[in-house]
Amino acid sequence: MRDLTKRFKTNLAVDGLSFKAEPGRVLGFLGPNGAGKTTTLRMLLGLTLPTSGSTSVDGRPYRQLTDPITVVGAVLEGPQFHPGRTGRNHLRVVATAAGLPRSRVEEVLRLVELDGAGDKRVKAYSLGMRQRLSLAGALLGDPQALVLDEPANGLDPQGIRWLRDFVRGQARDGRTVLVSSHVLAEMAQTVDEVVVISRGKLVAQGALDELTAGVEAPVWVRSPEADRLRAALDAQEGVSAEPGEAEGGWLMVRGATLEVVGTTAAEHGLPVFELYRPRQSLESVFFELTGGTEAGG
Amino acid sequence: MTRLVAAELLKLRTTRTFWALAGSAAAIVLLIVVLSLIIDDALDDHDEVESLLSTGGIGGLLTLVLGVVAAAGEYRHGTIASTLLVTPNRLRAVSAAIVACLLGGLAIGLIISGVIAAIAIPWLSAKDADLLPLGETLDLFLGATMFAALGGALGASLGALIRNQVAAVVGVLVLIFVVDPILVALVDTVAPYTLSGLTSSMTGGDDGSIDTLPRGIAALVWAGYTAVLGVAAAVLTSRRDI
Repeated sequence: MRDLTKRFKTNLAVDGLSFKAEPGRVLGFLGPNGAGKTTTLRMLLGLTLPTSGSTSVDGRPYRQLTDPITVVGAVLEGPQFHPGRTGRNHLRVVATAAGLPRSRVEEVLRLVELDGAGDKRVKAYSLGMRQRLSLAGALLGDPQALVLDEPANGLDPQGIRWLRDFVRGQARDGRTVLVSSHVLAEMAQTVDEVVVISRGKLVAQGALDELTAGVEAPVWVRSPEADRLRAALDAQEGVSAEPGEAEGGWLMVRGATLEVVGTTAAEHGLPVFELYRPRQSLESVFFELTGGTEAGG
Repeated sequence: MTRLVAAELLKLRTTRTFWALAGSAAAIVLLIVVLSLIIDDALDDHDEVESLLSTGGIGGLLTLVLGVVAAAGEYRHGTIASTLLVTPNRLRAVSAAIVACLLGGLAIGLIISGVIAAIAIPWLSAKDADLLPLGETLDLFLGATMFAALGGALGASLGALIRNQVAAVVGVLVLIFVVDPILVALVDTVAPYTLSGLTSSMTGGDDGSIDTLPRGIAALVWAGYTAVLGVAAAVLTSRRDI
């Protein structure tokens, strides 16, 4: 995507966005609801026209691809099935239009574990089954790249786990995976890199640990002598300790490493029952990056 | 293009809309033919027999609705996105839908003509009514079948252009029953070129009140309308966000 911009009447949905997804990697495309993720992905797929800027898949705009579904498979947000058509027939329509053999329909149905429900009408499908049917459609052409817009929406925890394994597997097979989500936790264990947008603008890009490294998490320590330990820590340059909300002598220490807190306690002969530093939670980073607000609209 | 048309035909076949419309068309025609045969004892007049055998002409109106519902239904159900992901070229996508509805309409036209032939001809013979010459009979069936096919095609191009099923169906009805008569009242020379005029030309249901075009020309004009609407739909679709 290069300098991609989309304006809907007065609303600037996507604002000068540029990024790239690499083969064999899972790129998480994150942002709150209304940040412009879906609009960006639909521009990539030639369904929405950019106001300015350009998108390309495999070096060419989507609309100029020959047999596009063999190049990139897509899972879109929102309704995309005729409720009265069966799942199998939906895939057969796509396969026929793309000139793919009927056996491929059976293969992808098995792959998403819908082979037992293929002859049911889509209106009888749960949200999770619809998502899997959508994934099956994306896989039909055995494409080198996958674009998944909020694929975890409507999935139960089991389904989300299945999706994670699935996405990792696709990347292991060398595919490029671009997956959007507004729920960071769903994607944290799945993505290699992330692009974070807010109100249509890029706010962060990079590997997950790089993103979280910028923000220091506090150290937590539990001691029966919490007050004395707090005084000892506060006495040091740049360190501040304050009692935690939980009972049992917890202190939250900022500006010190685990080593500093442990050594200070030892020097003062104070017992320590627990000492740890949580990984900076992705959610808090996410909130900080996106201004902690839903853009709305 | 062949595989796109095959996919569009598969779309038609795999929902109930097509079968319901085909069934209704056959049932309506069956009802009209049977009632006419029961009510009208004599049926010895050439015009009466001709009018009975022309009943199939209403099939075109139903296939017009079929085309509209099928093409606009893609937008209603969101399947247009997967259609355009496979076939990003809008003109090809719209053309395939039009051709598929033409073929679907043709099938319905053949079913209707078959129903009329199977019921009316033996019944009329049994009544000792004057049958039309074979050539004339076949000609009526040909007209009705052709109209059913072309109706489906025009419906598909309208549906792809308007995108809203209800608006498109209402639009067709307004066009036929409001716009056409007004146009004719204003400029009577356009009568043969209105949808109603072309319908009369194709189905032989000419009541003598207007001049009609030869059937082939009428079919070409109708196909021309379909092409213009289809191209407009393709151009707009490529400029519109889906």
